[in-house]
Amino acid sequence: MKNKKLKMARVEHDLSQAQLAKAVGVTRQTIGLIEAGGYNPTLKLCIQICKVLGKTLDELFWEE
Amino acid sequence: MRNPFNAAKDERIQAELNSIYRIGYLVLMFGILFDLFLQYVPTLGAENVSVRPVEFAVFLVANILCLVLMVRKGISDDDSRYAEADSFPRGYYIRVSLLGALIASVLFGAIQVYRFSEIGLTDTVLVVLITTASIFIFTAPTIFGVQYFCYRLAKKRRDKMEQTYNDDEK
Repeated sequence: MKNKKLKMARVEHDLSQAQLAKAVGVTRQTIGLIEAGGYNPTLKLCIQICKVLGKTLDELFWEE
Repeated sequence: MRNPFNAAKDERIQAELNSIYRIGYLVLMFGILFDLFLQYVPTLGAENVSVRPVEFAVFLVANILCLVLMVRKGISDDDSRYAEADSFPRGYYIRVSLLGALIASVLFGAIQVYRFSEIGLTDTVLVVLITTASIFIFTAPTIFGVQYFCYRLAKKRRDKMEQTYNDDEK
């Protein structure tokens, strides 16, 4: 399932996928796959992404 | 200067590579096993039954190493259902032991039939059946015993690791 919340949060911070990827220590493709719903990140990576984007786990990764 | 061998690891790529290396490992292992089998068969009945020692040693060491590393991590099987089972999955390992013994005994029987036919021996059905059955009877409990031993070691290791985690929380 696509993660639109993550994409919106990233765009809010004016970050490209590559920039977010660099900030959390993964490849651009991994961020792309997370946003497209093609990869389920570990909790550790989720927390890293939340810290960079200043959001909580619920705000970015909870499924409505 | 940045160390090129110590770059940050992408977890997804690591997971993909792990699957890829697993496939490579299985291809290599079965390929080497088949090659050892091809070396072994023609020498049956000769004075010296031999295979290339380095190849055999590497095959053994690689598999024993994997087993040791698994047990050290408290993992007793590569099937997730049984990797960290709290009680020994007897039914599953009985099936695995019987299947392994069946494969070994059928292979051994086939080799015997091939060798006997090469040297022109006939009326060997009874001999082949007896030796094949013997291989089966010997192999099945051996496989089961080794699996039980590995399970016990892995369980012991797992319990020790859990105790360490619980002690850290106090």
